[in-house]
Amino acid sequence: MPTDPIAAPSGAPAMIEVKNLTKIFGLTEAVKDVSFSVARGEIMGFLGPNGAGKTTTMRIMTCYTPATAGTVRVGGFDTRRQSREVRRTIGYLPESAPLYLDMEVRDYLNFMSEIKGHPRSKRRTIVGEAIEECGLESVIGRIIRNLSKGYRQRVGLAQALLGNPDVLILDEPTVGLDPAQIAEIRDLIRGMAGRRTVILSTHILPEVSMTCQRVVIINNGHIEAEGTPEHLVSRVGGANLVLMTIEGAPGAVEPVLKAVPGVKAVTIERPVGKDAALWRIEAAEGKNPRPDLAEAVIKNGFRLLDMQTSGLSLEDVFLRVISAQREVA
Amino acid sequence: MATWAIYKRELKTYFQSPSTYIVIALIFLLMGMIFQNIMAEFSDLSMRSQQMGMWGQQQQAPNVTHMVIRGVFYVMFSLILFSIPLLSMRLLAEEKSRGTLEMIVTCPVGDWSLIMGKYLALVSVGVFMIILSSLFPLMVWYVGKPGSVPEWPIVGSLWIGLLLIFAAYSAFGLMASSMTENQMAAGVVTLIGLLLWNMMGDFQIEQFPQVNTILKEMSASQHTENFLTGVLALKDFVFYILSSFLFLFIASKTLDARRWRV
Repeated sequence: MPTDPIAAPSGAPAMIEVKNLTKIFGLTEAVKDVSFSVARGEIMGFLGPNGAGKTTTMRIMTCYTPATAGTVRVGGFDTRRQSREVRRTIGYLPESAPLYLDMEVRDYLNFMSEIKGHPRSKRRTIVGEAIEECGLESVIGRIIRNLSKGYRQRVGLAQALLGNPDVLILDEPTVGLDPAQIAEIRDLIRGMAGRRTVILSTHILPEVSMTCQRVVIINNGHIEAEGTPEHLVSRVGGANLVLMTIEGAPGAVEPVLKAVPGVKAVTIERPVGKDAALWRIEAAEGKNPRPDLAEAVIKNGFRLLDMQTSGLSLEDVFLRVISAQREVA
Repeated sequence: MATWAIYKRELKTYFQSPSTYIVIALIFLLMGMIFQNIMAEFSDLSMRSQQMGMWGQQQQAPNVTHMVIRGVFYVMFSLILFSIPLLSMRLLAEEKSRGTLEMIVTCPVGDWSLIMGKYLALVSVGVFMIILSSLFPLMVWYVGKPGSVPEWPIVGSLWIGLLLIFAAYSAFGLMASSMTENQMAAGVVTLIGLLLWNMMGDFQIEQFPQVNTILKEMSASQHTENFLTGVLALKDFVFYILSSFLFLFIASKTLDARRWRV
């Protein structure tokens, strides 16, 4: 067991500690100076577009590839010097769940359990638990090749769960699944909160807000933002967003909207019909300009066709973070 | 134990795959054809020597072990070279290209366990082939008894030689398979490598006779001759076992290189 768990900023022992991680492939820097930590029992979402460096970071955490610089500690073990101990601590589901397609589900899980060094006497229980947790009872004698993508993913997850590892690292666990299967996998992962430390990577936003307690947004190998989904939303955009469909010349409407106290930014989302437009109005934090907005529109002789309020979604946060980064670059 | 698990899985894959049986069937088809040929020639010769004997002319009767059995096994020694690439090429290359290697090496398994599991499975296929090859001496024994039965010690030496060569070639094939994701490339490299390894004794550089001697001693074909004549020499054992270890060592380091190549 870990001898010197590193303390996370909060004081709880960090299960995963990534410090100044850099990975260079030839001329491209896949990961640049990335640092974060994950507390025991936490489910962390690793969010970023394709090619952002998620898989590379996860491969370093699982000792598949070495870091160019920086350190990763899992359960107190260094990935470089205590690779075997790190690998004993983790369960890993690589991207797109590469399985031995010619094996039966039960044989495959037994094989992986044997590979992971579980004693023969406990193997039955260990495999049985993983089968139960992932709901694989009905396909246990089937050849993996003949399973649907959803079941294959679950077999991959069951493999990662064998022996109940402290840390689970899941690379895009829901990619390529249908909505019902996605919901199932999410429920499964959400149910692990508190019991296991989980890192899951995804480029799908609802996934993190639904399953994760904390999010790290990574883009171009950089960490762009980090925090709880709610925290990120409030930090990046403020929670107030008003969508109004207003009939009237855009040039005339804009100054009116801008003049309303508490309005931070006004943009046209898209034109509606001939002379109406959907406006997107962002309110300053803690302000509620909605009554004033409606009043101002009417008073100035425009017609208000529709009005909606919505919090800035994680999607907006994500896109904003990513696009801001692109403008800089 | 991880090695055992990998060994079992790999062996099962071999014996469930049609290509294994095709390779074995081809080898034994060719061996059978040669066997049939030599056997006909042998019976012809022995008949003639019997007739000579009746006419009072003394002539040495042909020896069934030397002529038939050694002839057939000589073919097997050569055919192994062509069968190894077909059997070994997928061992690691396939796991690399399918991504399953990532799953295995991120488990707490040593590279050596993985290599040995796969290696021993391939060598077991060789053992299976050697056991099958006992069909020929058994046939000779059945047909030829009591007069011309095979000399079992020589047959034993042939088997030991086959096993050692199969083991060394397998290690070479596994090494090639560890270096690429492409099965075809692994197979071609294995075939060319094994051919060169066998022929390197034939290259002659006149200015450097010492180099010639070294090349000759290092070539694989140089060390098969003793086994064919029923001589078990320590240096041949050492040669094949050391080469096997060398190739396996390189294979495990190639896998490991992933971890330190920054």
